[in-house]
Amino acid sequence: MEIPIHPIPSENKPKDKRMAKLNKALPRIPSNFLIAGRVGTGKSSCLYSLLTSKAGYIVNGKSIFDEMVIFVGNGESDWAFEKIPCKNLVILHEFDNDAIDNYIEDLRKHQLERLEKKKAPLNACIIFDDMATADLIKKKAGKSPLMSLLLTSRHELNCTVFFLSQVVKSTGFQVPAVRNNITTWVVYDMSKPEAEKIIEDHCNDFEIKDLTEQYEKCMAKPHNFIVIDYRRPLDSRITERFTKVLRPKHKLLEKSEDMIEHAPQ
Amino acid sequence: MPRSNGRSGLEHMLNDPRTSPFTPEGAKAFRAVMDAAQMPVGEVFKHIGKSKKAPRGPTDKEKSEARIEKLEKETENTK
Repeated sequence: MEIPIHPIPSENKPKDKRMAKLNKALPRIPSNFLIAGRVGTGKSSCLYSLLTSKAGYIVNGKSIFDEMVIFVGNGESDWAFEKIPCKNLVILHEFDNDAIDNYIEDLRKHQLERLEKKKAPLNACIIFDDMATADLIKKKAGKSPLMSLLLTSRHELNCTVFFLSQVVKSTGFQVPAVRNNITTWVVYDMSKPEAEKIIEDHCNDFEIKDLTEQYEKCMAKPHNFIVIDYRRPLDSRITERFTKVLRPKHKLLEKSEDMIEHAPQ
Repeated sequence: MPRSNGRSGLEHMLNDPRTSPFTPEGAKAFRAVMDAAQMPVGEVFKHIGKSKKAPRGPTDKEKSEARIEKLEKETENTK
């Protein structure tokens, strides 16, 4: 007899009713996003659109996120982030390990308090836009708050994290604990070695050569990107932008052969 | 409302059969105390048995705002 699998009760959290109103094409939240691409490819525009557009993480004109912390390397895009319709938002240009550690701890306590009261957890969001991620992930005094954030963000923190970066190789994103906890990869045009590394690590049911070809075809269009969303089923995990599913060539061939075999004689 | 000594004393009197106005033996003692206190009986009963209102804690929104402000201050202090 097959063993029935039930969701672990800790997963039965009170639901935020606003979630049902979100655009179904959006990656589910909470998620850990990495938006990667060369300078000028459109990473910040992608993030900005996700956070301000009606089709993005917006419900009834307001952000789905109840509180947002945005770390940006420079001040030139502050005015754009200030347009996000979230009242409880802060933009910071420095990163302090202890301060973020305290913030995470306080958020964790608050979320647990809400869950005890049978309330849906708050939707929190932390953004790192072109910050030197490798430095952020480095351990200081034996611990790294950012690592702890990534490991627990989707669970007790109910926090969505966005990283925007020009490079992936030789950065903190190659640390297995970080790489494995990024749920959604948004990949713009990257240098060849960077793209090769991402494709090699995340080709899923594609052959490396096949995904490389499909990626390059997508990158021929300006400001285009592919999305690898691990919270989607395998057959719809890789998409051009957010909705156009990319399919492995060998599966398309198998399908057409199958159709030929089963065609009426 | 803070629990005053007077209020505690009244409750104690009502709960003690020797001073409670609802027992034959306590009625006399209760009357004597009330006369000495010069307080109308109606006023006394208005306060007795009322549960103390729990002080209102910060709302979720206030907690969230405080957390964000604290992060901002702590980050600025490290500059």
